Amino acid sequence: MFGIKADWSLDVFERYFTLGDYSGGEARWCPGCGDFAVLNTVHRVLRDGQLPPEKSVAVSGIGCSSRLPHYMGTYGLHGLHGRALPLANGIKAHRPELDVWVATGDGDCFSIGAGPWIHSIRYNMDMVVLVFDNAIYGLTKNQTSPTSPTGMTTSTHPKGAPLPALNPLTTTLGVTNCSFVAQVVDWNPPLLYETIKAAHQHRGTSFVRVLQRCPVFSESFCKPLQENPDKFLLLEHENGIMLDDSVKRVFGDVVEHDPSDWLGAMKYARDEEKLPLGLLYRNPDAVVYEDISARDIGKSDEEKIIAINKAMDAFAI
Amino acid sequence: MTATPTIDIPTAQSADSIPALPNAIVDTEATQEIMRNLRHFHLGNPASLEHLEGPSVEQLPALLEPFRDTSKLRYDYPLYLFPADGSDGERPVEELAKPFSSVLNESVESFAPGTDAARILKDNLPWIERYIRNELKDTEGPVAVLPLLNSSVEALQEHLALNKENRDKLQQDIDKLLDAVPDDGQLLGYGRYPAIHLLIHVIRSRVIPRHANFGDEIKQTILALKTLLDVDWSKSSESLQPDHIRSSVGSTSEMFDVSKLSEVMDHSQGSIVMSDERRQRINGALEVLESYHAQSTLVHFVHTGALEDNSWLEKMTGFSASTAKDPCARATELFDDEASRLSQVFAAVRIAKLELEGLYDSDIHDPWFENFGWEAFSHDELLLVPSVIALESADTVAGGDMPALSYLLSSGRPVQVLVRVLAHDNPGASSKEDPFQSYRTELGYFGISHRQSVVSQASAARHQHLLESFSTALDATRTSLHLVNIGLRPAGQSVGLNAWLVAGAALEGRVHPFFRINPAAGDSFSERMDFSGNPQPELDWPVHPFRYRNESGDIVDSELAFTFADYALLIPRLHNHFVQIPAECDSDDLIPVAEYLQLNEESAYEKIPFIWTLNGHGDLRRLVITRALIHACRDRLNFWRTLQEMGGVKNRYVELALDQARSDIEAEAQSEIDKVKAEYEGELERIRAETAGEVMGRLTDMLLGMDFTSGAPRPAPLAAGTTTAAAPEEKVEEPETVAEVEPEEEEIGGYEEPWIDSPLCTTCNDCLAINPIMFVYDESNQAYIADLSAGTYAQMVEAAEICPSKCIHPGLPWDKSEANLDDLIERAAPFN
Repeated sequence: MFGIKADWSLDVFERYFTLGDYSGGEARWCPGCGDFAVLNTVHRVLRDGQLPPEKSVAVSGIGCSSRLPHYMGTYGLHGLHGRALPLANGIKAHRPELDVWVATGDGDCFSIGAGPWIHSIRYNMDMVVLVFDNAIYGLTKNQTSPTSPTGMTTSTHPKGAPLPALNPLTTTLGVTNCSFVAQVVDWNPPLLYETIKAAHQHRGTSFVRVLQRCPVFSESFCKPLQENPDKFLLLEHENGIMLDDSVKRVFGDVVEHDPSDWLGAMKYARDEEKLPLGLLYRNPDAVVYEDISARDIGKSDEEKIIAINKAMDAFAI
Repeated sequence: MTATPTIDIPTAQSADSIPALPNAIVDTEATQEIMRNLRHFHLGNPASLEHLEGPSVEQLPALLEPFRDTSKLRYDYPLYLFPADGSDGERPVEELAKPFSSVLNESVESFAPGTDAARILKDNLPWIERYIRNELKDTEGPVAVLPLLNSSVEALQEHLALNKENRDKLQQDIDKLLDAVPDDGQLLGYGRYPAIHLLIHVIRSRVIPRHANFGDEIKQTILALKTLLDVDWSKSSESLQPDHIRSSVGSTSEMFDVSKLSEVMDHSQGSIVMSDERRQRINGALEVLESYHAQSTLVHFVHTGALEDNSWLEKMTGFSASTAKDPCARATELFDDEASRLSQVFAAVRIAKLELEGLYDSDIHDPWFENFGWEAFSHDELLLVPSVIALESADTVAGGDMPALSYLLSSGRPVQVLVRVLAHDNPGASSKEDPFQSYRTELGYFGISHRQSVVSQASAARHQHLLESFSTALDATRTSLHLVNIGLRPAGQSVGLNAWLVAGAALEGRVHPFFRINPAAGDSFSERMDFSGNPQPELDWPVHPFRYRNESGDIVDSELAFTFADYALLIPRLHNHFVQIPAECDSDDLIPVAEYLQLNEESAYEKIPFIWTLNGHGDLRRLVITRALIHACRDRLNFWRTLQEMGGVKNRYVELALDQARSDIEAEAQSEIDKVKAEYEGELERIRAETAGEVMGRLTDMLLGMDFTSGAPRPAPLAAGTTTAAAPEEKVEEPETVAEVEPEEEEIGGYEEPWIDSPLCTTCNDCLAINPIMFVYDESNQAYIADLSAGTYAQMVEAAEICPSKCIHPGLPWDKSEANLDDLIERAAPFN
């Protein structure tokens, strides 16, 4: 049309950021740890989106995964155990324009942080929540976590974890106003990148569970998965994430799944035999809490006082 | 979350940018009054304007809305002009010029294929592109590419202010880019005269190599003629004189007596010598050829002196500019002067060739060369004559200069007449008249009437098509008329549309359709006419998808046509042909222009045509247009349909013939069907009558014989001789024992290059911890092998074993002297 070609938009970066601009120094995790892959993917998503580092905040609780804000060249907040999500919600409530990334773990989020987890999903504030799930408390050296599989030997359960593991996917999907649920593995960077990018593009709380290797304490959890791609079922859809052939070749089993189909998402999430990978559920129309909480946020002190007085006057007799 | 910037296709509209209809409540009572005023306006009653509002300066046709700010729009300019090379001047047009953005992308891709290689440079190529475009904004004509590219990359480094590591990395890629871009080319911005510059570029690309070849040819001819004269002179007695012998022999002449030698030489050999007349002719030709110097002027450019910017004229090389009141007449004279000067040279070359071959016949050739002029030039000779360009404006050639243009077009002189066209205007109308007052003078049609001239209607905004037109015209060596639209920036409007886009809109709205007539291509119109470049040529108006929100906020996908009326809105002078339809007014009598033009006169009488526009704030607005503008639309449509027919896109004769043939075939087929049907029905009736009894009898038998308890029909009895026994199993022959072939033993110590599947790297640092020189990270922090010589095979195998994502493939050892290779190869095997 009018002689204009497909690459018509002359997108010029007035400020340009390299990967290094998003990096906060040398990352220190154990050799072979899956966290490196997640960190680098977050850097790449930020770099490819050319998002200003000063407009991004990385928030975490406690655990190996929660070291992530230290390795980010953005603002960061290393909070209390289990409280990454309340902190992130607080930031978003007052500074809705910031790009918020939450790094949490299976212990931090699903155990001590379980309450905030449920309510944060319901608040659906616009942020990416990356749960580094290695099925173990690694930082404190090998204690059973909510997602440790039955029989997994830990220091707290030397004869093996006695309970079936919590299923974070079905739990999250079950929360009212949930808007984005995905699952990935850290050892496939192309899939990790596409999923985190989709999570970042989604407006709402994007819950991404990353099955993450801990080569020191929970090799028995991830190694069999890494060596048996047949354990996974790759979800693909034109309305969700379209995957590269190289990713499909690795995992083999691919199924079309429309992420707007909640029942389908629940069905795949419940499957213990074939773990779903990719985007399970997305609802772009879910209510986003900061749309309500951030109303009139730019008002001056005087205006606020007037507004409060007006509200109080409503109770005057 | 903030969405990652994505590149939309032109028709795509992001959710935020979807235009919306105003959420107004239709006022039935007000509508009646408004409709009355709109009808009056449409019919030309100026009093109606008191109650209506004209278009705002920000209003644009709806389809152009996404490109409102052309500073953020990538288009084909600046063009990279490839330098003239040493070939024969027959380069294809796509090798003459290319959008510089493509040259940049291809150059970077040539040394850094893939997404992540040279990432910083690739991400910032648009910045370089914009910088260069801005630098060229006030420059007319081509400029050397290298200085501009150099300054742009320096400015980029300064703009990015990267840390040292990234700065060095970027500089390395910049150096490669500077090597990859052909540095002797030029850049051409979309200034005031892009078409003239492109024509000069095509001429230079073709003429420079041809002149070089012609210079060589003349040198060889001079040499051959001199040899011929030398041979003749050697036959003369003078050549046998002792003095000449002495000088011929040189320094050794003192060793013998040259007088004696002269006496013994055969003085009778020069009996048949060249006639004086022939010698004079050869000497004459030689003199002309020796005095020939390659012309410094390759292009003569004649204009009226009304150029807005003359600065570029002085900068051109091999170029002579002059002014004349009537450029066509002056161009005719200039061509004749050049042709007359060159006719002596061409005649001398031809005479020389005839003499060298001994074919010159005075009786035949003397009179021929006596009257040798440009009409007798060969195609190749005509291509050597400096090109003459006459620049005219559409108004002047449609006015006082028309006789000179007509004479020139009929004369056959290969002069290039370039006419600058204002697409919306009527060159036949006086400057005081409304351009829609009379039917438009189509200069293209005027050109076609001269039958033997090349006529092209093109636009500088489609450089490829324009270059093809110029090349065709130059190769045809005929008078050529180029009607070129360069578009114009809408003056007085606050929108940033540029001339390139406006010229594109003129093509889209059938305001300035493309065509090219080349009489050299054949005698039939289908051979002569080229109709390429027009969008959706089979339709009256091009149609494009358009998405908007209706009054309820719902997204509606529709299609919009881009008509002449849409284009007219871009011309401030024509704004008096539009008024707003107030939001509270709605009526079935308001219909889009394209639909209106489909109606017959009777139906159209009740309707009022409008176009869809946007006001710069995302609001959809409708504008009613005048009847005068509708007439102009019909006039343009009429010319467009004529061109369609000439271009073979739609041919009424063919359509009529097809209709006739179709109806003949259908009638014939129907008659055949009727006949067969009648025969079939008769036959059916007969069979039915004959077999009814028999069928009924069989049916009765069948019903009586059925087993109703099983629910299935009883199987028919087996035919005699049929057996149900399974066929005896075929004996399976044992395969012949095949001599086992020893597999070829793999060459021990062969080499297989190690590699890393970088996209799968999880950035765990393990391999870098083993050897940070052999393993390094790319621009996405994913590992690749940088330097094999910096490490050992043992390290490579160790890295492969430790790699958590198993993406290192160690291959086979590259250094055969390394210890424990057998063991290492065995360990490496699972990872290869």
